[in-house]
Amino acid sequence: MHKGYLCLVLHGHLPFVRHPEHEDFLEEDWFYEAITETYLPLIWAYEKLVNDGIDFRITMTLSPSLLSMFCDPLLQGRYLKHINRLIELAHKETERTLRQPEFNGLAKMYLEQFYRARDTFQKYDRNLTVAFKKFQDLGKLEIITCGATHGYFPLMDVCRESIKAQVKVAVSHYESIFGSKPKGIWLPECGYLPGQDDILKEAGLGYFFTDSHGVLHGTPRPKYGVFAPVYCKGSGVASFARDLESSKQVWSSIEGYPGDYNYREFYRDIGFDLEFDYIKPYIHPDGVRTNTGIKYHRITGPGNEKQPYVPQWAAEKCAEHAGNFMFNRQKQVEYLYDFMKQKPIIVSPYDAELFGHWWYEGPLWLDFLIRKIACDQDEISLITASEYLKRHPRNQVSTLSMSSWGWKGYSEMWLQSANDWIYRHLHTASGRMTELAKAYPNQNGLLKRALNQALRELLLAQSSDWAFIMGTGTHTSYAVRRTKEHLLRFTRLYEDTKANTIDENWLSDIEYKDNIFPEIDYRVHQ
Amino acid sequence: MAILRKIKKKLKKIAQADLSAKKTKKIRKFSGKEITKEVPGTREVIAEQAKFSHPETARKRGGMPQELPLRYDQDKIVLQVRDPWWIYAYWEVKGSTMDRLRNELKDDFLKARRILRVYDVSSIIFDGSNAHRFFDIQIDRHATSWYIDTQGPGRSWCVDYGLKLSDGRFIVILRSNTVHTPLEGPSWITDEEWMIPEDMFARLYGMGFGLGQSSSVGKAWQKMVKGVITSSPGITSGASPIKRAQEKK
Repeated sequence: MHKGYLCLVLHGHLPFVRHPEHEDFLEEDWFYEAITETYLPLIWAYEKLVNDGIDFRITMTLSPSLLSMFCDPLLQGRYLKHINRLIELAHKETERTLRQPEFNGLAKMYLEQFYRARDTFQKYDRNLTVAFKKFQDLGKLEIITCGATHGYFPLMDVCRESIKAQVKVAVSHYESIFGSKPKGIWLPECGYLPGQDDILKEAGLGYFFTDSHGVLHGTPRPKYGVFAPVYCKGSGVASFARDLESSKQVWSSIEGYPGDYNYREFYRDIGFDLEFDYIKPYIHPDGVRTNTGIKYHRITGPGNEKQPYVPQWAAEKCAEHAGNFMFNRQKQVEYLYDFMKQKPIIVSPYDAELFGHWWYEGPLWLDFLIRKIACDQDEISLITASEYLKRHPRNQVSTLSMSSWGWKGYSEMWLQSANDWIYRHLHTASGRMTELAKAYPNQNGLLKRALNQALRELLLAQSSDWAFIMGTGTHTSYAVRRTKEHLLRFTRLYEDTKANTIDENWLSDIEYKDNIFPEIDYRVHQ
Repeated sequence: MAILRKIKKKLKKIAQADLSAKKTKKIRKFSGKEITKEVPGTREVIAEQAKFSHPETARKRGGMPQELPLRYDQDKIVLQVRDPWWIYAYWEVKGSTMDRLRNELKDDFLKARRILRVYDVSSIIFDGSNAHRFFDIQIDRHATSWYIDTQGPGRSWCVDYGLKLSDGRFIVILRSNTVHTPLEGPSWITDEEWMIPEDMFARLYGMGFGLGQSSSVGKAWQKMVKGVITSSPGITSGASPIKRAQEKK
């Protein structure tokens, strides 16, 4: 008997990293790695499910900055180069490991995977938005939006015009790619502050997600806990809260699946393991060792001694873990159904990049899980948030609590001694952008270009990823640099606009470098 | 018999000892788990960090860009919430504002202490004098930001930056925005309010009349009802046009 729903949410996001001024740029690898290891394997999983006639529902964020990178011809071309180089390396690896059968099979596996990545990438005309749109049009994926550049909204509350711009730019960008408006939004870092839902309503967004305590600590108390959405008091926008139990099974370092000893070890890569002269052409041209994506070991245990990876064992574990996850959801739903006297919805959100990149077997686990849910039971079914609201429109009204899914559950990840210095600059820039939008309500030509670029620079500076990286305390220089660079560009645009001394050559140069959101309209910032 | 009773007593004692041992074991196990309990979000941070993989050595780059300005020539204090207990304030005071105060207060200015006055302004419109309570934090004169331990989840806060003179007077230089710290646990309020969005209700309303689930049908139905009601008063006539139309077919 059908007793409840599972809402799987994959949040796909990377900051906008694109450096046409350099032939090779290390941080662009974040994107290329994620294409090979996460986005394409997810597309393969979806393709296989559709081909096998398995019905499924997945909610997926594709953040506007990620979508912009998918659509960018320069990055598309560079990815092809990147994957071609990997294919070449994998070929060499199949030869180098000829006498090491435990690695040779793996080298062949990677070679095949890289060839397949290139084929699929080209099949979709180098633009992966086409693939994701296909699954949305088939009714399998519900793609939602996110803040334009993933600005962390709770720390932008003193400049709500910027939150509005983050949301409005995101919605219109989504529309230009998918041909329809997004139904919901993933708030960057799941960060929510009461009252910010008004901005979502204004943009036509029907729902968002919060972390568990956002709803659980809401006022009044949520009658059904996190197992039914609530409508925000005032705006009526629905909020779905994360179920911690299902989250923990995937995230937790104690009970989490990705830490299983049979799974592939993320931190052992031939980019670091092999002789320098051999690997040199495939790491950064400056000679800096980087991850190649070819990893031959399994987690093995807590120590540093790692054994070779055995795909067969990992696949068996994956099936076991998928079965375990489903079994636990069935038990959970059965219990909740008796208790609530209505069908619960279990919301399980994850970083999309966790799947395949960090947890190599993640896409396979997802595939197994979806198949098991479709074929092996009838107690739970997959659902998207908007489908749920159609079936169960009557929900409690509540004022939610400020929350995020970050470290400690609030804003500390983005507000600590390592990154708190950015806010006085960001807020001042926001105030100035509002001032510009008011002072120049109807501009054309060069001035309009400068104003639009000013908004681009501001949005790029607001990306929560910079504060996040500063907060982790390792390799922070790029994040610091990006924050400063965009703020400096913004400030110069602000001053030059007001003084009417815009340098067109310089403007053209930064338009070419920071070319995100070509259709942006600075007037959304008010 | 007496011996038997003694043995029974002993057995009981042993059993009890066993039980209590088991209990403590359980507790220990539990508390052990508690100790290793993760701070929420720790794993998420590790996984997210993995998105931004970096080589072991930082790459040589053309140096950092020019520095950001230290100040923007504005009188401003901004308050932000970090978590249910802590709030963060940053501020800037114009040189001219300080000069004005220096001129007005003369010697008092030099002796004055820099203070952050933290007001609990929960559920009120703060006018500077009606706070539930306040506390002062003395700060270094060069400080431009501060983390404040409010000790008060679920309350609203406003902060003044100012000078405390030796005679106890407080001169406000800057007043912040108001922020609200979230609750650290569930709300005590259990009143429930329920809602169905209007378009959903319209659809449900239509479904109640057996007119299908899709909104277009619902809308058509609404239009029809509106039309019928405006054109011909009387409830009974509401159903008849459809029947007639069907009969004609």
